Amino acid sequence: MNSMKSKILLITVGLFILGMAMALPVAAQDQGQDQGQVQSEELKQPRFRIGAYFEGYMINDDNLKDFYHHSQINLPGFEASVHTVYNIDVWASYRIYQDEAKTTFYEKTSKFRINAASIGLQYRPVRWKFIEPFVGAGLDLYSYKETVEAGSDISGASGNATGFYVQVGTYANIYKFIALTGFYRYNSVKKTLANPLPDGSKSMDLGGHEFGGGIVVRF
Amino acid sequence: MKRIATISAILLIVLCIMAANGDAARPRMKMTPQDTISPDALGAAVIKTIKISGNQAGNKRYPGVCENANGDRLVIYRGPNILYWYTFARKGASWSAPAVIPNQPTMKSCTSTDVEADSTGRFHCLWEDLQKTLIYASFLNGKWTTPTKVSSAGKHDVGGSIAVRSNDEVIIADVNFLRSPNNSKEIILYFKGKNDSYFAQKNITNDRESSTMPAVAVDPNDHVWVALKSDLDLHDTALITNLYHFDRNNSLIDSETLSVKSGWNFWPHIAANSEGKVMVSWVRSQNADHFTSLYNPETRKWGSIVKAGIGAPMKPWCTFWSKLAAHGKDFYLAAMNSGRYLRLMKFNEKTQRWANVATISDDPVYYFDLYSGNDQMLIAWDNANDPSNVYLTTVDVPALGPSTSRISGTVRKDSSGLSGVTMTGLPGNPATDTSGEYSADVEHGWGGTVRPQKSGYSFSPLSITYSNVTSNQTGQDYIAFIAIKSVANLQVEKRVERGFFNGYTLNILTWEANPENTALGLVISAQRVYRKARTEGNSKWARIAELAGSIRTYEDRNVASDSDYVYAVTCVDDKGNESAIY
Repeated sequence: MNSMKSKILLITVGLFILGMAMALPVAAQDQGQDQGQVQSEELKQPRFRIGAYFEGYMINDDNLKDFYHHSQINLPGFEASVHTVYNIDVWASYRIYQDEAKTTFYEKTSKFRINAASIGLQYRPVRWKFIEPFVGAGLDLYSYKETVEAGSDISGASGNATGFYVQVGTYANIYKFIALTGFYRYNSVKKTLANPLPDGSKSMDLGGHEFGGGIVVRF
Repeated sequence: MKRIATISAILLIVLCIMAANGDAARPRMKMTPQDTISPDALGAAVIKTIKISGNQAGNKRYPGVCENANGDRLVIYRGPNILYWYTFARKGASWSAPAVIPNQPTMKSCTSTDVEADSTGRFHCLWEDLQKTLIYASFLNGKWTTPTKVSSAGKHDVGGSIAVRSNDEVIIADVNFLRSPNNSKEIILYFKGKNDSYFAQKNITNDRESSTMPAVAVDPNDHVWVALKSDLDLHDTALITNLYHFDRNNSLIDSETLSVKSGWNFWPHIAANSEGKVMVSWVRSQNADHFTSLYNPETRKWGSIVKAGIGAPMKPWCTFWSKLAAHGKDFYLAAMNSGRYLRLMKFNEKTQRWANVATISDDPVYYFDLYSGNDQMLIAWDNANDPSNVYLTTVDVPALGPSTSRISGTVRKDSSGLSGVTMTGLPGNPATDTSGEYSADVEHGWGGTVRPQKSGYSFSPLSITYSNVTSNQTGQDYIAFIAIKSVANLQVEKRVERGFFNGYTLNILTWEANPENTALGLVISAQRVYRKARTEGNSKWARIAELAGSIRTYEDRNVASDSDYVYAVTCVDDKGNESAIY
């Protein structure tokens, strides 16, 4: 029941964000027509941001950490955002989480991969010349997959999981079109499994803490 | 007057001396049977002699006598018309009127009578037609089977003897004489099982030219013993006594030659006592006496040759004859002395000497037969000088003790006898001999469990349980297997093989080769892995794998993680024998 509720909530939030992404540019255009001064201010800031970053991902799930022996994986990420209105951006990100370990007895190589996508809103409450801090929240859309080296009797596994994130960070505008970015993000992406994990539980949390930095092109 | 008295006294003394000398030199000892009881042999035993034949005119010779397990007695003899006659007496009842055994073939003459009885009370009779043919007939409940010729067509028999195994198989020993091309003789045993109609033939060997007069006996192990005379140099100048020993499968175990000395050794006879000891007797010309030797089954050797001390002239050939009978543990010998007076003697095993028991007849005897009844020795005989009658003399002897039954059988491995197997549970815990055979006497009504044991072997069946044994139990056979052992130091380790999401539990088995199998030189061709849940019974063992013999580990991946299993790894040798699971 709780799972159902969280899915409904996530879908609702997602639809809200998408609605915002589609509606806010239109609203901004209408607002500009009515308030020429404000529109002028808004149009001074870049409309799009595309960036790449490098981050540390500290996954929540203890079983994963135990099995793969890593509490943090460093991974690349990509983000893109589009400004809507009132310093609000529609923001999206994609990361690839990969880890590797040996099976418990035969020591076959087991590889685990998460394709982590996030989409949400980002708000920059103040816009200084060089610094534009931001906060954000949105949906996490994860797909995961485990593959075990050929010759093992263990079958692989894959699945999808959804959750949400909140983040805080800042852009540092170092050039007209270039900015640096740093952030902290927390994800909660829980999944109920059919088969129990080594500790006997059937609940898995692929979310975790992310922190990193990168470079952003804005235009 | 005084002189006359003196002369009279001297004459009286001389007459007394003459009279005394005359008694001592008397060629015929006129002694009644009662007078001949030896004080060291039978004590207050009673000897009785009756005329057993009827009043029919004609010569009566060659009697044979037997008592069956019921105490019934049968006497047969060659009577008038050169036919065999018989008279029969139920235990405690009077003898029937002599009558001719029906349906006999025409004979010219007869000799060599022998009678034995089987466990059913049937009498098995054998006699020799002087046309050199052995005739066999049996008698039970007043009815005779049709007398039949035993020997092979075209051959001549030279004497014969009959014996019966505990399974009622009838055995006849014969020497077949083939006149052409070279007067060769074959020693032949004939066998007829309880339900067989005909005798099967087994040639023992082509023996020496003068082999004749075989005697056969069966010991408590159902081994067959044959004694016969043979010519050492093929010219009748050195006749010896040969012995053959066959197991219950009629395989020759060994043969022995006794009395290899100068002179002739004639007409052996043979008997086995309740302990499995075998006595053989024969007459030897050089010493003009009867001799015996005793076989000890424990040492498997024949003892020294013992002189019976009865004397035996060389003239009438029938005086050469001696008959042996075993009565329980005791051996009795009937033989004629130099006066052809028939004596009964008993063997003292401690002193290794024969002691006189009784002189059976006041008259010279021509032919006789000796049989051991339950409480009497039976001697049927005829009169050398007056062949008109046949007599039966009974000599009381201690009744056989409480009846015992013999449990016997063979322990085989790969069809061969296995020696040294201890049969625990039987009295004395006997062990199998080199032929794999064992036997033990148990008291009437005995019960118990017999379990064969020998290090390194297992047996099928594991044991045999008896209760209230009242008859011989033959064929109590076991099959021996090399007691192949299961593997040693079997260890089970529960492990888990898994990735992050999926996996399984597996049990890792490790073990070592069993050093006992190695010590026995066994070739382990395979190993079998068995498994059951710990809570399940032994009937639930299930084979889950068969491995090569050299493998020392196995991974059982088909296990439930929440179950507890027990494992066994057995060994299979190259003959397919598998060790026990537990």
